[in-house]
This record gives sequence, structure tokens and C-alpha cells, in this order.
Amino acid sequence: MNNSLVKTKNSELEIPNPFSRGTYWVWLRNRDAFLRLWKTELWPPFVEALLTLFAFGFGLGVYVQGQIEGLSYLQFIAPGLVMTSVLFTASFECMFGTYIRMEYQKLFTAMLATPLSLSDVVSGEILWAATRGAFTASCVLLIMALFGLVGSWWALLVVLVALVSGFMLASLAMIVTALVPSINSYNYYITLGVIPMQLFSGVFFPTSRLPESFAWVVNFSPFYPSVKLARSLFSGQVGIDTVLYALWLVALAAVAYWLAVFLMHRRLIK
Amino acid sequence: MAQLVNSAFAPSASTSSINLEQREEIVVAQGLRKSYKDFEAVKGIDFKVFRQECFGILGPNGAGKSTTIKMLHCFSPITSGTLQVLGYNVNEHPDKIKIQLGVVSQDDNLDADLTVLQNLLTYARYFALGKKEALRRAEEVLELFQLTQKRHSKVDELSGGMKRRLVIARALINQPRLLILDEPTTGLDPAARQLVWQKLRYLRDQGVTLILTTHYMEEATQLCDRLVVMDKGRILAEGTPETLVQRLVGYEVIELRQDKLGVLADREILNRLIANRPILLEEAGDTIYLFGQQPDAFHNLTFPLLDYQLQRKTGLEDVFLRLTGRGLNEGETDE
Repeated sequence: MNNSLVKTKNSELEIPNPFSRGTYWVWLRNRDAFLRLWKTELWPPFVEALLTLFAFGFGLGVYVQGQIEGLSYLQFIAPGLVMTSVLFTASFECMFGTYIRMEYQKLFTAMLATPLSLSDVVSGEILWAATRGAFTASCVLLIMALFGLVGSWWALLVVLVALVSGFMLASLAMIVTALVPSINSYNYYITLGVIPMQLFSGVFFPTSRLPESFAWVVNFSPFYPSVKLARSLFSGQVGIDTVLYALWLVALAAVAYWLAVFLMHRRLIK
Repeated sequence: MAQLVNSAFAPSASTSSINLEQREEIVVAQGLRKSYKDFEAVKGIDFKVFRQECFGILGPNGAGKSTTIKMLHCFSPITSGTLQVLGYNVNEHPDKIKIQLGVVSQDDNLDADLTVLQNLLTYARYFALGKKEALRRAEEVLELFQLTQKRHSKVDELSGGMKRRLVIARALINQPRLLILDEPTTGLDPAARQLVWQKLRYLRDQGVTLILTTHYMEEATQLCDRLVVMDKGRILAEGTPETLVQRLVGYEVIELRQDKLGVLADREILNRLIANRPILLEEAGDTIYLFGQQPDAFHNLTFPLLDYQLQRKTGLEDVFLRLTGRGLNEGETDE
């Protein structure tokens, strides 16, 4: 009996499942907390979208003449801006939001004393961050549509792309959360992860404009397929490559999610 | 010292547990161990907890109390040995255990983003309780813990005592058969503490089994039907508070504090004074404790004038300090 090979089911990593009841309950907890604060949480996405359009439309856009891939500059960056809002919302939710709930409020300890599993808790957090990302993206999308920057009904699918992208980006942030020793350490990921993803995934300029020796790196940006997908949906130019980008995104999301649950398990269960 | 403890303790342990054997076993731990990467927090402990008793785990910081608690509620996987809770093995059926368990952790891990009532309802959801039933039980536990007035308050607006009560109330939302409390009254003022104690005794009378850790001896005396004293990952003694006190530190104790002239430093004088009496001598830091092992141990005993001298009844504090080695290993326990 006294051997270290004793089977320990409670310590084993169960197969992560983002569709469990427990995931939904954790998601509901975050939704309730969000709705209590709706006065401060609900309006920023709209205002941010307006400010961004103002800056790019009347500021930078004036200097950018001609067309990029057959689009005006504002039309070109609009889908990327929608996705950028997802990048920031989902990432920050699973960085600072999750960290505060985990380390300062000790909510995970309370949750794990109930029948909830670790996978439920982590999945609920990620799914919530994805939901917030999709919500923000919808707000930005609405503003873009009002300014006539959306060229196709396909753009409605951007909300779905935002949800999956949010799930993937939240999982990446969760991986970082599983590894950081303190809340200050997020600077590394923001500077070396989030910002480069924003700048070098084809949001502001076509990646073909990059020096050849560097252009291939873009393919490794997990955020790249999200931007590509959003742009083709905005203009309605949907084809086989759209499907491939979608598959790429889903694969990235699945791998990142699995790794996030695995590493959080390693961090919390001792 | 460990040997002395064991021989003093072993014979009566078996007699006192005879009448307990018929009661339902809520927890059975055998050879339970927990190792982390570089140290062993629990080094093979055995104990049983029976239905409707309040079982205490006492020990200084670093004794392994919290680790034991975490294994009990299926949070920390056990390293070896066996652990049965509510009839299920923690390795095989954590779900079946956790659904019947209430856990009160050391920190107030309440949800500051939600109201008092929302805290309870959200927690109820984790136990798959329906909305109506959750609300009914939430009102019930709020009433029991005198928090009904505060149901729509934010958690941050509650006092320390109220927060603690809410944590306990929350742990009751699934009507647990076993309530596990890790230092339930640490940091509370005396009045808040009394109130928590009352509620815990009430719960036990209602049929709930309680397991609690504490380093307040008064708390253990007030609440525990039976307890173990742990230190450095091992159980040093087990029994009811009264039998432990009698067996290990006797009836009365005299505390002598060293005077500046060092009269006590001359141990020969002291030894001569207590020779042939049923007295046990323990020294800790600047104080010498004389434990009278029989009611008349100190009869006609006088000491040279000292700075400080006190004769009093023994208590759990003495048991605790004697077993865990008082100030002598202060440095070690603080790791």
C-alpha cells in the first residue's frame, strides 16, 4: 500500500472539456459579476471603437492614399481593429482578471472545494474571456457597419470568429497565468506577445510589406488567421483559404486550451 | 520525550475507543502521507473520525494540519496510505465525497464581486442545486448565521466576524454531512468567536460531523469531543481533551520563572525539593513547569522566593506545549 504508484484519481488531469456543466456554472459566475458592474463595463468597447476610427479615419488615414488589396485604408484596417479588440479583451481577462480571482480573492480554492473540477474552473474562465471578446467585437462591428465599412453579410460570422479567437487568445493568456510568479510578470507577455501579435499580424498593413526575411515569421503569429478570416468575411471574399484559416484557428485554440488546463493543473494541484 | 508520551498514552487509547467503535466511521486514515518536492508534510498518520463528533487537529504552524485538511477534502492528492471519507476512497470517488462536504478554508475566500446572497446562490449552483431550492437554503443559512439583514450587502462591507460566518454559511449550502474547518476563528474578536463556537456546537447537535484545526487551546477545549496533537507531520497524542490533560500533564502545574540571581539555575536545589514526588519537570526558555501527576503532588511544597511563581490547574495549553516542545524549537517550526 505504501508506494508512490497509488492511483490518484483526484490528482489526475481529466480530459479538459469546455462544454461541461461546471464550465457553464463558472461562466455564469463571471457573467453575474460582470452584470453587477455593467455601468462601468458595458460602454468602453463602443467608445474605444469610435476613438480608434476617429484616429485612423481622420488622423492616419488621410495620409494613406490609394488602395490596399483593392480596399481603402480604413476598409483595410477595420476587420483587424475588430480582432484587435478581441486580442486585448480576452488576453487581459485571463491575465489580470484570472490572476486576481485566483491569487487575491482565492476564488479557485473556494470553487475547488465544491464538486467543480479544475478543468471546469479554467474552462469557465477561458470561455468567459472569449465571450467578452466576442461581445466587444460585436460592439466594434456594429460601429464599423454604421460607418459603412462592412461590405458583406458574411461579416456577421465575424462574431463567431471573435468567439473562437477569444477562446484561443484567452487560452494563451491562461498559459502565461499558469506560469507567472507575480502579477508584474505579465509585462513580459504584453511586450513580447500581445503587442507583437497586434503589430505583425496584418492588422495595419499587408504582411507582404515586411522584409522577406521577416515575413515568414508572421505565419507563426497565432493571431494572424483571426485577422485573415475577419478581412475575408468583411469583404465577402470567402473561399477555400477561408476554410483553411478557420481550421488553423480551431487547431490553435484546441492546443492552447489543452496546454492551459494542463499547466493550471500543475500550478494549483499540489 | 516522544517515547515517554507514547508509553503514557498507548494503554488508555485502546480503552477509550472501545465504545466508539460502534459509531459510524466518517473518516478513516491509515498510514497517510503527503510529500512535496523537497519535504514531507505528513509522515504517516492514522486516525478515525466518527459521526456527529467534533474532531480537532491541533498543532503549531507547519505541523501538517492544513495539508491533512486539504487531503481530506480531495484537494491535495495523497502520496501514500489510505484515506476514506464518508465511506469513499479519496482516490476513487472524490465527486461523491465533495458533494457531501462543507469546507471552511483559512482565508475568507468570499466573492467580493458579488453580494452576500449571490455568494450563496453561486455556490449552490456548483452543487447543482436548483434556483428555488438554492434560494430557500440561502435564506435558511443567512437566518442561522444572523446575516439576513446583510443579504444585499457587498462582501467588503461586512465585518471580520460576519465574513467568517458567511464562509461557514456558504459551506452549509449543500447540507454537508461533514464540515471541515481550517482555523475557523483565527483573527476574530472574542465576541465573534463565541458566536461561531455556538453555531458550530449547534451544527454538531444537528448531526453534522465536524473536523477542525486550530492553535487556540481554548477553542479546542470548547468544541472538541476528541482531538489529536500533531507536530512535524506526525500525530503525537490522541484522546478527549480531559484524558489528554490528565494523562500528559496531570492535575496541577506550577510555573517558576528564573530569577536574576539564578537560584533556579542551581538545579540541584530544585531537584532535591521535588524528589520522590510525582512531579514532572519541564523547562522552556525562562520558565520551569512542574506538572503534578497526582492531586496531592504539591502538598507542603515551598520554594525559595522567586520573581514569578504561579500554581494553577492544567489545561490543553500545557499538553500542547509539552508535546510540541514549547519555545525550544521555535526556530524549527517557523520554516
